[in-house]
This record gives sequence, structure tokens and C-alpha cells, in this order.
Amino acid sequence: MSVIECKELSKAYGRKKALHQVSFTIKENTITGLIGRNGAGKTTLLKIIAGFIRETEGEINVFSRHPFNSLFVSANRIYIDDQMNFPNTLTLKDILQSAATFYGNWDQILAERLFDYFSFYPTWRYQQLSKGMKSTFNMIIGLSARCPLTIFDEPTTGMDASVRKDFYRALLKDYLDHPRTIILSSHLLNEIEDLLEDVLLLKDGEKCLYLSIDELKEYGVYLKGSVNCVRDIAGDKEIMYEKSLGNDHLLIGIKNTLTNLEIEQAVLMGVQISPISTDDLCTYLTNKTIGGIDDVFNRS
Amino acid sequence: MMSLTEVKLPDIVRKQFFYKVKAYLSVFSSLLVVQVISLLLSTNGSRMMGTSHNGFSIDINYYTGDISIVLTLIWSFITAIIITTKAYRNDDFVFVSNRVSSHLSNIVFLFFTSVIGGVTAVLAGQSFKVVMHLFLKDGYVMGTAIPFHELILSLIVSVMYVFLLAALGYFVGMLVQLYRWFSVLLPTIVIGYMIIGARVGGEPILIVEIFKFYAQETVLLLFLIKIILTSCLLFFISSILTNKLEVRQ
Repeated sequence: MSVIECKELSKAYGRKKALHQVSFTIKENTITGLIGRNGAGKTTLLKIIAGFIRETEGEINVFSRHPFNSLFVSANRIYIDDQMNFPNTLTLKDILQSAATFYGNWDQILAERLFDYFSFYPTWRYQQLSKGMKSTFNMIIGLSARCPLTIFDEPTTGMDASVRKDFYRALLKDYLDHPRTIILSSHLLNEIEDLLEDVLLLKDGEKCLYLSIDELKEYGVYLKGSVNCVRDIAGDKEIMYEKSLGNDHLLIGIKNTLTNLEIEQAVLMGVQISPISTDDLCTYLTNKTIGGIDDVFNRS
Repeated sequence: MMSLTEVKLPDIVRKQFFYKVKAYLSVFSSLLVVQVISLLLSTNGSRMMGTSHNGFSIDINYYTGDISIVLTLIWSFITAIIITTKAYRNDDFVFVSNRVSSHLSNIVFLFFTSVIGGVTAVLAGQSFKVVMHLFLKDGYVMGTAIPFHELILSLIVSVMYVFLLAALGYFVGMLVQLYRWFSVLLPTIVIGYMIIGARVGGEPILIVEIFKFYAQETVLLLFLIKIILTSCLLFFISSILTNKLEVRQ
């Protein structure tokens, strides 16, 4: 069963197009990573799924219903981002108790255990917390709510490395105990790739890739060697990345469509083949130029 | 598969209302401040009369606790405007909510604050009389004690006025949220009309008529119908206005 169905979804803010003709389907009980550059439309897409904003065109169904302004979708999803705000009149404990009344599947014991583990004090106020602690607290709510659809929009903003690791581990453990559909948007793909089953890559409001993480890991390869040999092997394949190493050596990244023959040829010519990490791959695919920032400084 | 929860609107409205009572606690502390200020202002007395004859002089001072009702009306209007602002609207959507439940819980919340505001305003006026009895030792003090059924009546009436002002504030707040320039336009029109109306015809007719319509109704039932219908209309228009807004930015 699919939890989210999206058909040619578009969203425009005035003249600016935030999303353009995005189509995908997210299956039940999967963890999907939503990856993209700043302004690629990640948050817009997640807010449409959550039912906060209305799509301009296209069709979207969450739990087979139109999410915008739907109480049913609202009750079965939780949307966690760093814009969440809680009134200063409530203590952290009050907030957890209020959250518990709203969500049917809320796990108070988990909430309290996480609360103690991350050493929060019950009498603290939300607005006194630091950025990273706010994110941590939001994460506790997001996990404890146990919503069938859990959306984390850049949940790790401001968290330090060890809290981030704890968070990913907590997410995975709770997911294994209580499978549900989770969408996680992030810039840091290398940190979350062990967690993810699928990756949805957005570029300038359009769907760039939607693959399983295993497919993504084999999606691209680097070729490294002398300029002529590398160019020879690459042929007319699409080049995602290019970097010159000294005068006569070259490193390029291409889509992995090499045949066995080409691989043998490469070995003979002394061209090294290595896989492109998913993190780099997503950077290259969403870069506007092949050379990246180097092109800016390269005036020749 | 995690089971999907079916929710009922009244249930969510009830939960949101209780959340709001806890979350918007500052609304009630501001009411407290407003009423303390109103009592202090009242101690000046509202009218004075003096006369002297053959070496005797009589000074008559009138004291009234009505200021607390006026200030409570203003408080209610402003409170309603405040909860229409984006920050407060977004607060709703942290947890389960849709627009209808958000409006309904706001209305219930405003009615709740109106009851508290109206009742405390009337009682503050009464306790003011008692306090003045104790303080005004100099001379002869005459107080009017109102019979119990009239006290109940004044409680109901002031609660309804406070609620009417809340409905008006909610409407104005939503209008301003939707079209920013209303925040300039509305005061200009209202105050401008008062100034111009007062110059040309002696009194701004429209405002006098509105005042007559709501404030000089002597039949309780008719009065209640007028207030409730007007409030419902204002809330209804407010909720229609927000259909143009996104649920949460």
C-alpha cells in the first residue's frame, strides 16, 4: 500500500515556481530521504504532504486523502521542523503532556526516557533552549508521537555530532520496533544513508532521482588517470563532475553504464575506477556547473 | 502497519481549547493588570458637585467602578486581535488541527475569556464600592447595593458585551492578517469618520445608531439574540476570510 501518491505536483509562490511537475509514490513503512540543495523545494513538498499549504497544480494523496486542511491527515502525521514554536507559559513537561493528548499512539514512556537521556529538566521553558536542544526536543516529540507518517524537515539543525548520532540510532530502533513511514529531509546524506531505504533527490523544484539507496550507491563512478585515457573511456557518456589533477591527469565522474569490456579496457590503460559516494553524487547531480565552485575562480 | 486514527472534530476542538487555556495564560494575567489599573483610575471619582450656603459647604463626589468594564472591553478586543496573528495561528498547527478546529477552539476560548473578563469586571466594580466604603471615612457615604437578580443580569450583559468585542476583534484581526493595509485603513476610517461626523452633523450618526442598537436594548432576550447573531456573523466572515490563507506558512 502506498502512503503518499504524488502526480505532477506543482507549487508556485506568485511567479516563483517552488515545485514543478513532481511525481512519486512512497510506500508504507519505508524511510525515505529527501535530499536537495537549499531552495530545491524540499520544505515546500513536505508542507504540502503535511497539509499546511495547498498545491497549485497536480494531485496529491496522503492515506488516500487530499492532505490540505484535513483533520484525518493531521491526526496521522507529525511534521517536525525547526520552526516549531511552543508557548513560553508551558514547561517542557507540560508540552509533552499536551502532545500526548493529541496523538492516539503517543508513547509517554519513550518520551520520558528520551527526555531524561538528553538531560532536559521538566521545568525548563522551550524558548530558553539552545538551537540544538530545541531540535532535540522536537525530535523527542516526533518519535514519541508514533504517527503512521512521520516527517522530519532538517531535524538535526544545530545538533552536535553525538546528539545527531543518537538521534539516528533512536530513529532506527524505534522504526524497527514500530514500523511506520518516515520522511527525512537533510543536507547530510552521508550521515543518514545507512538509515534510508529510498532517496528522493530534488533539483530546482523538479524530481531529479528517486532510487533505492543501493541503486544510488552504484549510480556513478569516478574515472581517474591521464587525460587522454580518461576521455577515451568516458566517450560520450554524460559527465557529472570534472577536476583536473596537475597538467596531464584528470578525475571525472560519470553515470555507471560501463560495460565489462570498457572496464577491462580501463584497467589496461591504467585508469582507476572507483564508486562515487552517495553524498558526492547528490552534490554533483544538483550542481549547476560541472566543475562546481572551482569554475567561479577559474577565469582562464 | 501502524493503525490510522480516526478523529472527531469536537474532540480535537476540546483538546485545543484546553491547550489554549494553558498556553495563553498571559491573556489572563493581562486581565488582572487591566482591572487593577481600572480600580486605581476609579478612585479619582467620576463626578464632583459642590455648593456652599451660609457658611455650610457640601461637596458631593461620585465614584463608580464602570471603568473596569470599559477597560475589559478594550482588553477583550485586543486579546482577540492578538490570537489572530500568525504566531498564534501557527501554534495551533504544531499538533493535530485543521482550520475549522482552529477557529472553533478560538471561539470557545474567546467565550471563556469573555466569561472571566465580564464576571470579574462586574465583581471588581462591586468590590470597588466596598473598598471605597472603607476608605472614605471623611463624611457620609451612600452606596447603592444592587439586588441579586440585577447582579446576575449585569453579569450576563457584560459577558455578552465582552464577547461581542472579542468577535469584532477577531474579525478585524483576520482582516488585517489577510490584507495588511487594513491595519492603516481601518483606524483611519473609524477615527476619521468620528471626527468628520462630529463636525458636520453634530454627532456621527452611524456610531450613534450602532450604539443605540446594541446598548439601549431593554429586552434581555432581544439583546441576547442581537449579540449572538452579530458575533456568529463576525466569526463566520472571519473563517471565510481565512480560506484564502495557507494553513501554516
